[in-house]
Amino acid sequence: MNLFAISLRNLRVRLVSTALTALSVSLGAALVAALWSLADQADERYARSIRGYKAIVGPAEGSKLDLTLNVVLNLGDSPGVVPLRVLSELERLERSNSRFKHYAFPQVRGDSVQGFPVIGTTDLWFTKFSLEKLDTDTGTRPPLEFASGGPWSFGNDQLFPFAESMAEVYNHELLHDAAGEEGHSHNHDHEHQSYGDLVPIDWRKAVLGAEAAAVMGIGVGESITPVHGTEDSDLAHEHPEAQCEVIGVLKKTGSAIDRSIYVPAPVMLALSGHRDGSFDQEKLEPAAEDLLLSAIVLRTFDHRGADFFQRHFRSSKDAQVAWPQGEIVKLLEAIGDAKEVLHVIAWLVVLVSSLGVLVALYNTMNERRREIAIMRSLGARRSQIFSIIVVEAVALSLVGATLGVLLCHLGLSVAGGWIEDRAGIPVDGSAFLREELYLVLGLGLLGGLAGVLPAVKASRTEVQEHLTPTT
Amino acid sequence: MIEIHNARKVYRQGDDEVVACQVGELTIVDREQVALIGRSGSGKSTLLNMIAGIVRPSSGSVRVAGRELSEMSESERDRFRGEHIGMVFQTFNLLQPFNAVENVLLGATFGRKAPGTRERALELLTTVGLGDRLHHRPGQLSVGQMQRVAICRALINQPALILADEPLGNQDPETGREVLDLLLRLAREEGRTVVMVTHDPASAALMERTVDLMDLQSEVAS
Repeated sequence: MNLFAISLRNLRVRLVSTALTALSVSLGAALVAALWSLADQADERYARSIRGYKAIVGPAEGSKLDLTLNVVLNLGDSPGVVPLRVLSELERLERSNSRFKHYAFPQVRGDSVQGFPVIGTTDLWFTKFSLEKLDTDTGTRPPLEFASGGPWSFGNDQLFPFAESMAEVYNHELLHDAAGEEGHSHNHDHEHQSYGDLVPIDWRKAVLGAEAAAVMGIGVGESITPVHGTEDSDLAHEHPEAQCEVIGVLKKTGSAIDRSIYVPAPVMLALSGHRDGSFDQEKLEPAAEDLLLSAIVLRTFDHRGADFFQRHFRSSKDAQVAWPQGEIVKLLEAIGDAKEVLHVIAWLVVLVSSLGVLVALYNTMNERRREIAIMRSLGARRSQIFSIIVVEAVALSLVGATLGVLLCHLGLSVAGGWIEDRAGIPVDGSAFLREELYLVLGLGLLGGLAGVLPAVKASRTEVQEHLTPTT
Repeated sequence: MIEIHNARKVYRQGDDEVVACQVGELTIVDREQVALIGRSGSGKSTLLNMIAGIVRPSSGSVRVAGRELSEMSESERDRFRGEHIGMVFQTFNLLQPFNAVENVLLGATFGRKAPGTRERALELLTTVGLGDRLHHRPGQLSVGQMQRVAICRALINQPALILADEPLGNQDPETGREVLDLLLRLAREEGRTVVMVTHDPASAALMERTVDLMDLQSEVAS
C-alpha cells in the first residue's frame, strides 16, 4: 500500500461522485480539445489550400481579399474580370526575364453545379498546379492526382486562338444587331456561327473534385450541366449547351479543389446568352486580347517572382496582383478576436469544471474526517493526508481530461462528415495534437490546485476528536 | 519503557479550564502488560492518547522508549507513533474501502518501511484465524473478526508498544475474551508492551498489573 493506492481506492469507493466529477472535467477538456483540433485542422486546411497559390492576378478594382477568398476557397462571387491581354503580358515578361519564370492558370468562374463552382481553365492545372511542398530530392512538386479517369485536354496555347474566334463571332453579332436596329435588311443565306459552335464536343469534358463527385454521386462517364449563378438564386438558369461529360475525378486534397468542377475555359467562355460578359464593353470592336477572364492563378518559383508581378501590376488599369498568404493572414487576424473569445469561454468551462473537483472533494471532507483520523492514529502525518487528497484531485482531473480528449476525438470521428458539410473543414478524428497532452497535464495541475483547499481541511482533522464514530 | 511524570492535559472552555487527565507518576517497563482502569471521565483515553503522541500534555513529562513526547513536534510524534506504537480501538477503526489485508497493510504505510510486510500481514491474519477472510471488507466480517484484523494492524510494524482502548467494548464476553487472549498471547510471543484501557475487571485481571487512574491523580504534584 502506498499513498497513491490509497487515493485511488478512495476515488473508487465513491464511484458515482468520482464519475460525475470526472465527467464534468472531461466535458471541459473535450470542448478545449475540440476547439484546438478544429482550429488546427482549419489552419492546416487554409495553409494547404493556399500553398499552390503564390499570386493571383485579378481585376484592377476590388478587394484583394475577396479575390483570394473566391479563387482559393471558392467563397463569395468573383470580384471582377481580367482581360486576356494580361495573360499575354505575363508570358511576355517571362520571355524577357527568365528570373520570373512561372505557370499561369487562367480561371473563368460564375457557374455551378449543385452549389459546386464550375471553373473554366486549361489542362496546365492538372500538370503544373500543386498543393504539395517542394520535394527536395526531385526539385519538383507533385501535381494533382486522379482517383479515377484523367484530365481533359485544352492548353494555354489554345486559349488565344479560341479568343480570336470568339471575338470574330462577337463582332459579327454586334454588326448584325446594329443592322437590325437601323432597319437594314441583311440577307443572310446562312446562319452565322454562335458561341456554342466554337466549342467542339472534345472540349465538353469535366473533371470533378473529390467532394463534389462524392456529394453529387457523379462519376466518370456521367454528365453535368452548369447552372449560371447559384441554384438558389432567382436568376439561376441551366446551360444545357454547356453539358459536359465527366472524364476524371481528382483525389481528395483537403482543399477547396475538392469542392470544384473543372472544365476547359471555352465551355465557360462560350455560354449562350452571356455575350455581353465575354468582352470588354468599352471596346467598340474588341479583339481576342479583350476576352474577359475571372482571374489568373500564378505559380512563381519563389517569392521574388510574386513580388515582381505585384510591383509590375501596381499601376496597371487591367489588373492587380494579390498575395494569398498575406490576404489570408489579414482575414485570420480579423476573425482572430472571435477565436479568442471561443478560447476564453472554453477555458472558463475548464476552470469551472476544476472548481467542480474542489467542491466535490471539499463536500466529502466532513464525512471523511473519521477515516482521516484513523489514518492519523496509524501514524499518517498531516503532509501525507494532504498528499492523499491532492493526488485524488490530480487523478480525478487527469482521468477526466484524458477521457475528455478521447471523447473529443470520438466526437470528431463521428461528426467529422457533418462538420465538413457545414463548415467545409475536413476533420480527422484520429489526428492528436501535442497540445492535447499539455491540456491533460495542465488540467492535472489545475486539479491539484483545486485539491489544495480540501486537502488543507483534511490535514487539519483533529485525531482525538474524530476517532470515535458519530451516531 | 513508559515514564510519566506530573502529566496534565487541560482544555479551555471559555474562561474555564477543564482537566481532562492528570497523572502523577507512572512507569511501565518493557514487555509489561498493564490495565488502566478508572471511572468514566477519569481521563483513561486521554492518557492513552498522550502516550500515543496524539495529544500533547499541557504540562509534565511523557517519555516513551526514551523519547520525550512533549518536546517533539506533531509531525515527529506522528512518525514516532507510526514506527513504535500499535493501536487497537473499541470501535476497531478499520477503513471500509479496504479489505482485511489492506487494512493491516495500512498500518505499515505510515509506519516503519520493512521488506516482507505483505507476507507478515498474511501470516498475522492466518495466525488469528482469518486466512479465509483476507479479501473481505470490514462490512463482510463479524465484530470479533474485525477486532482481530485491528490487532494484526497494530502488530504489523512490530511495535514496541501496543495501546488498546476498551478493545472488548463492542463484543460479547466470550468473543471479547478470545480476542483479548489472542492480543496478549501475540504480544507476549513478540515481546511487546501492552497498555489497555478497560472498565471490565475480568479483562483487567488478565493483565500483569492494573493501574487505577484515580490513584495516579492523587499523586500529582501541586
